[in-house]
Amino acid sequence: MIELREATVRAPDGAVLVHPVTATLTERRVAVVGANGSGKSTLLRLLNGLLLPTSGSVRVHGRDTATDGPAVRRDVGFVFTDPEAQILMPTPREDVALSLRGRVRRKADDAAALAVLEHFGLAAHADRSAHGLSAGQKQLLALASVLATGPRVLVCDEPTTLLDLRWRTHVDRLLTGLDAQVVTATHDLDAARRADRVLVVDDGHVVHDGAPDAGVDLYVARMTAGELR
Amino acid sequence: MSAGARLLALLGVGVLAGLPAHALPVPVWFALVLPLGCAVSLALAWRAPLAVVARRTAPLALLALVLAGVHVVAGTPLRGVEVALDLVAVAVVAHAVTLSTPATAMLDALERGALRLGLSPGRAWTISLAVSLMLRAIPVLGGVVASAREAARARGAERRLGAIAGSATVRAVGHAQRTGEALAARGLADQPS
Repeated sequence: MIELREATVRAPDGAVLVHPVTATLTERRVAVVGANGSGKSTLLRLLNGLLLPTSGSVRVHGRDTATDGPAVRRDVGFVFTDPEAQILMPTPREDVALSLRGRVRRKADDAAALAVLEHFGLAAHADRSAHGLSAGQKQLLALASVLATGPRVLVCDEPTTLLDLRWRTHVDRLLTGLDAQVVTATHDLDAARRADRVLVVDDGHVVHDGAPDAGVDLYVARMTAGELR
Repeated sequence: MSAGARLLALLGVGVLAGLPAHALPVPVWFALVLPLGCAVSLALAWRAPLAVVARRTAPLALLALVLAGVHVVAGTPLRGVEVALDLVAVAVVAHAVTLSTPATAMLDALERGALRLGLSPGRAWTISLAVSLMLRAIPVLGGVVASAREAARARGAERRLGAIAGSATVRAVGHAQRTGEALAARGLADQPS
């Protein structure tokens, strides 16, 4: 469960990036939609303490991101738009092994890393250069490496934006099948409609928080009318 | 040779490169080429792919050349040669280590070493991860300099070294920031001690 209480983000110059948000997210699938630069990513970064609110609070499973940041980050995985920014080791096997090692505090287990890669269909690429993979494979690897840490909540910032339709469908299907709570910022409105709850963000304000169809319809109407800033 | 021994050899070359050439009990010309000679010998012994080592070292070698030029202008050419050769030597041996040693083996060796020094498990993990990522960042920094040069060339500013250095610095800081965020995204940045 994620609880935002009057969570606000201001830039150093005082500009408000996220206006006070109060919400309790208990649904398994939450989608966040909004125009580029609307504040979606800033809002998501609050959820695992990558960014702290300048006022108000964010709590995940009862832990405050400001006072209990390390515990929150171990519980909340974050998948970036660009997987290049997420891959830390030279090969997929080593990248997943790093996550497993951090999680279980023991020597990296190659077999366990390979099992994770197999689950994601990447076992054949285990020892190739991670940076030589296709964009879709890289995003799968980023997802595998984050999920290998066993997060209870997964936050995804436009994870399919850089992918073609085939990979987008594949990643979307993987995210849908996860046991963890998933909060995703997306421009894929079909995926947003399949969520349990949708937040629409406009110029740092949450202008809709509720039913997916109503949220997506509002977003489309405002986008086509040129109302979104 | 174990990962730990390779890291110790890297440290050894680094220390050797840090010593002033004139302070060594050998002829100055020999002291100048000694670190680079050791680095190339180690790369050969570890069977690191020399072509890849050379390609990855090239951007830093260019920077070393610029530094040497600065020393020549400042009237200290010998020091310039020394700085340039030492930088290249450290880059060669670092690339040789990262190309011939699995990242996880390097992490294990660093963590074992830190534990032997009496650090807590949490601190040992943090330090081993930081050093391992720093070594992994060396080829990335080479790429950063190369892409800053490309960007400058695209605007016809390939001779403006200040602009290239500025752009490379911003990109390098960006890489460091992204690495920190990638660790935080997996909850690896702050392990309990």
